[in-house]
Amino acid sequence: MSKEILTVKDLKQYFPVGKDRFVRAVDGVNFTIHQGEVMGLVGESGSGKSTIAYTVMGMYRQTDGEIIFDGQTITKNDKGRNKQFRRDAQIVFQDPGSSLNPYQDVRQILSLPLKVHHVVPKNEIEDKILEILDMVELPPDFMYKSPNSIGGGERQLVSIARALCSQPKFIILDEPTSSLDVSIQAKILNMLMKLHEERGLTYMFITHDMGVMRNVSTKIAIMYLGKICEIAPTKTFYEEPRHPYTQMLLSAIPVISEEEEALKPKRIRCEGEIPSPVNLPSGCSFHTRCPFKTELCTQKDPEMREIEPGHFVRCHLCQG
Amino acid sequence: MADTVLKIEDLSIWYKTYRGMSKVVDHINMEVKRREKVGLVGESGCGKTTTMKTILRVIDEDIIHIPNGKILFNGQEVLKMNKNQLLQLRRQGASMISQSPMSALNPVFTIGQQLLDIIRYSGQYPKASKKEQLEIAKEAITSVMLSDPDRILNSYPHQLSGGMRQRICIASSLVTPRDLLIADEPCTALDVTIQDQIHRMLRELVEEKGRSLIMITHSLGVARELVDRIYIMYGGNIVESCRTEDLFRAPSHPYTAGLMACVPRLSGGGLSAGIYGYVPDYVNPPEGCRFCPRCKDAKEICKKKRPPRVEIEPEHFVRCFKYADAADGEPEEGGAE
Amino acid sequence: MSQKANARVERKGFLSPSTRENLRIYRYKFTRNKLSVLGLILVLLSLFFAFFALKIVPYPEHIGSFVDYANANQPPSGAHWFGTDQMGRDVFSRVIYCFRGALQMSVVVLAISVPVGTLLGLIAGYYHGTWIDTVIMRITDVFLSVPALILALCIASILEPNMTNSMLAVTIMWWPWYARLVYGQASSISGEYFVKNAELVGASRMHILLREILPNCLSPILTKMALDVGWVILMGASLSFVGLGEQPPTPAFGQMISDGANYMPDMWWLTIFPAAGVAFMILGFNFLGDGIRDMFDKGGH
Repeated sequence: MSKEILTVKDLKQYFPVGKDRFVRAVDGVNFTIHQGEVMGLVGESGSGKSTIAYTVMGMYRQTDGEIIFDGQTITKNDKGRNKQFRRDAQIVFQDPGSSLNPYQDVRQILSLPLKVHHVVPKNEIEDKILEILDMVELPPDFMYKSPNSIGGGERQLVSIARALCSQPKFIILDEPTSSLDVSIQAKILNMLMKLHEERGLTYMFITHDMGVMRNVSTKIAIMYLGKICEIAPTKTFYEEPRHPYTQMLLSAIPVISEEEEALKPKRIRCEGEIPSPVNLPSGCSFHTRCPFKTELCTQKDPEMREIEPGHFVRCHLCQG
Repeated sequence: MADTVLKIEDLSIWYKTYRGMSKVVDHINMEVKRREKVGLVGESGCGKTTTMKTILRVIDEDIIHIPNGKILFNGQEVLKMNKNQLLQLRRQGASMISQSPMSALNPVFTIGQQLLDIIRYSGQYPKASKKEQLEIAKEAITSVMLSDPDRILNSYPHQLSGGMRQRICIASSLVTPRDLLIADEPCTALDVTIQDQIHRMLRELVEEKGRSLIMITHSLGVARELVDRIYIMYGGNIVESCRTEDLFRAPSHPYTAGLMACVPRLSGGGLSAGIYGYVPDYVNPPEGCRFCPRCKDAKEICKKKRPPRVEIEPEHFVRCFKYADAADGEPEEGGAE
Repeated sequence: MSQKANARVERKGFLSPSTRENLRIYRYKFTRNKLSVLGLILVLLSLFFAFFALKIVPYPEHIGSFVDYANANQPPSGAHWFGTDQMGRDVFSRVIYCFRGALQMSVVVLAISVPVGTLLGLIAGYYHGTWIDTVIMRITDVFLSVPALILALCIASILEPNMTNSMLAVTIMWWPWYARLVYGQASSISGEYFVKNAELVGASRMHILLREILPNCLSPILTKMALDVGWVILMGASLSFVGLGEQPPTPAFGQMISDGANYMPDMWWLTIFPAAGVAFMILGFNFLGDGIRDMFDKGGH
């Protein structure tokens, strides 16, 4: 097994709402990402997937738990992130409209990380920018374009270019293509996978699109109400999903071929909605929507178990 | 004639911009039969929503210009309707569900107040007492699979989740008997598990009540699940129209084929290269076929002439020179401002 | 190196079309409303009057302490377009000269209050929700809670009544509006992802405030500035109306109106023309401000 890049141990992130009440956005999450992996993180809105990304990046200080990045442990007492971390870990945000400053041109946008991290001497910044634009296959004249004058897909390519500026090891992709059309999405995804292969980048890929996930990730974690329900290698995840929530999610996806239709779990139907993260249900948080729930599920929260190598499930019904 | 609810003939819609006319919708033809579910599929900025807003005339009419075309709703011409006929159309003829359930309901009134207003002003229940109207509202809420209608009627929109709000929007367009329901990407803002439930419900209700449905979506998968017939729209043109199963069996227009290849499959198989380029500039659209600059199979003729609409098999129309002789092409008209 | 040189060459070729494009959009949006164009014309005329007052008026010496009782209290005529006052001075010359004082006042007031307010608003907005925000914005609220004119009157009357002090008074009560405006803008901008990204990269606070957030606040600031010129002029005229502005014999709008008011309605020209002058400037700047707002308006085709 290759080197561990990011390990998250029992990570918790609560946000206070009123007195003694918390939104448990992330509630005890464990996972490890190895060098060269693409870990997919899926879940519905409000499941806490973006919060994990933001907490890892240091936008919030974690309520509890450890983040171990590249051998260096960050606990809840650490105030910020050090320079090494800021260089090695980058994030690409979802909304290409708000992630680039409309009053700067691409050259200004890309030169910020180059300047802050002293990647190259000052007089070589422009050359470096051209090199990075070339890496994401944007023409050199993009340097002087403003984000308003380019399309959504190109904006996202600029965001990716910005993340590449500091020569990171690890990039968090927070729904990088969810606001783009499919014909453009394909291009961005191809670019990301090319960079992954050529430069040995490690990704944490957050999305709600299971079709995208199938084609880019090496392993997948599925989240529900701040907890991970199932982690499995991609193929296993789609072919033998074990957790009822995974099955429900897979069964809900509109697909375009018979071949895919056959993959969808048949014995489950979508019911109900995700409960509020302020008043979590007792026991297993999924029991309010689960068609297979038992008495035990309403009382006791299940433990994460490894049912086969690399395949973890948190469900009372799948114990080995 | 009675079995056609909506017929759009050769409709073009232009926006007035500072650069001149933006020819967003260009000579489209469409037909929706009674009890038929039709999908309008296309990427963002291809004119789907503009077309649908024009059907109900809810678009800002100061900024658009309609150079040609007709919209016939139950045989009546929508573009020539006066104010009263238009009210009639919106109250009793057709309704629209928008893509943002967050802003479709007024935040300062309860769901009950808003539903009752719709019931009262629809003119369908002139004799109903307040109590009877309330019964109708409750029934509508139950029909969209929301339990506890009393509580819902007394709630304000912000107290409900996005999925519930979208159900209310659907309920409000189903309380009165109308012929046509236009759903403008009703589930883009919602999660897939909610989307699945709403689609299932929408399909059942539309079938049960005998309505016609136009489903606007950017997702081929959604269209495949929900509708009988699909119109594929690109750059203001309808490039392909056929029955759903024919489309997925034999996508014939290069754009449709490209779009289908782009969708990441649940069964894996890697990613496609995407479709090169972007949606055309509508102020100066390509002279010939609007898809030509992005098309892999483009020939000389495609740059010069607009491709004709060809019926390649029964009910399967494609606008592409692949299936037509060069002589059939029509020159782009209205090139001058 | 050659690649770099290419890029430099390309800059000329590529930047200008997009800038020109932007200018065209701005011009289209601005000229869509004819009143904005009228505003621009009025403002340009005001500037012209202010700069060349002494060159264009028919009787430059009438601006100071000049007495010509033989021609006193003349109604408007060919020689004296706006008539003459009780000391025989040409009202037209004096009104034109007032433009200079009024404009000077608004320039000084805005030149001080806009940067101060903007900076405080930026800081408070970026540190939204912390004690810095609380301190700055509560001080701002204190200023905003007192009616502006009353506060300015107090300050101006405590100090010696002259032009400088009246400017000072207006400035002191003007900056909080900018602090409030920029605060709202900055606190919403600082939630945008490009600001988050700059933070994550490790950019300095200075960079984030001045390079990332400030440019995004400029369009409302500019709009408000254009609208405010008119309001400052009005405020200055009010102060000078009660004798707290420019002191005689130098003319000012408020002072001329208040002097003339004693002779209403017989010698109406003494009041009406200075009042029209104030209206001329205020309308001009307001229309211009509306035009600028339309120009920066994101929506619209």
